Amino acid sequence: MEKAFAEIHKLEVIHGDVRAANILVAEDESIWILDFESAQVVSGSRGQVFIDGEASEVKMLLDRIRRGEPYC
Amino acid sequence: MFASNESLATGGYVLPSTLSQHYRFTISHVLYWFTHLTETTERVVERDLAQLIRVMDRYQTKPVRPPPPNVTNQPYTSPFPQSSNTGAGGYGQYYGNCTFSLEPIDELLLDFKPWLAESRCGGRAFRATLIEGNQQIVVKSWDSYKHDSSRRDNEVSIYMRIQSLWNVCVPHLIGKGEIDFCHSLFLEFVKVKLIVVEFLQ
Repeated sequence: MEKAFAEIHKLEVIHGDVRAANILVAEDESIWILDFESAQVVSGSRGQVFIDGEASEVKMLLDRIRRGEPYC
Repeated sequence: MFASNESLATGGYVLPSTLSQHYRFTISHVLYWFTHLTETTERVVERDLAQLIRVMDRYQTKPVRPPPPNVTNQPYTSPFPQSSNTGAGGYGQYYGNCTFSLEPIDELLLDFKPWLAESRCGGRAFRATLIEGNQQIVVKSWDSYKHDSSRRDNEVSIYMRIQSLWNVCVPHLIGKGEIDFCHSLFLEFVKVKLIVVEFLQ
């Protein structure tokens, strides 16, 4: 899942609505990212923060799950 | 875009089961149900002039709801680049056996039954079938009475930007268009893995 989001971030796109409902596990166990309604294109230095920085959307989601907070 | 006639001509008096559950109620359910009723009900013809006048009076005294924005017949705009689909990164490389065209098309026939519970994919997404090729797709719709097309258009532009990830970790964007009063986009259907959970006592 992190790989998938890393690829999306490389294209200077942030998803903006990462939650379990927007992530599918396909029959072949591949991960699919859905729902780009809230996504934004970030470019330049602002984009680098999302590409290089580890404070990614995925990490925020995982932190929420670990804390037992709702994530759907 | 049009739903297939078949989807509207199912006989009987069909009330979507989800209507009985108010928390899943949507305006789309009711409007499609009304569409179904009008298709299955005989037309009412005015029998005399007095009745016609009464109908006209009623029309004049009742406030008329303004039409929703962006419901006029706009020319279909393809989200895909208007170039050959044989080049690298083009549309055709992912769907070698498909019959879709990069050229704008006026209409695409769908078997689309959003009032059925089994068609719902969560949120604004519904399952549908392309008549041509009998391929399952996902239709994501925004009610044009509530939203302009900017959300849909933003999502299309994002899908176009991440085109290199189509069929890798992002569903393939098939197109965009208008279905009745809804701004819609059409995506590849991804079969999900069924996970069986056994509860231990």
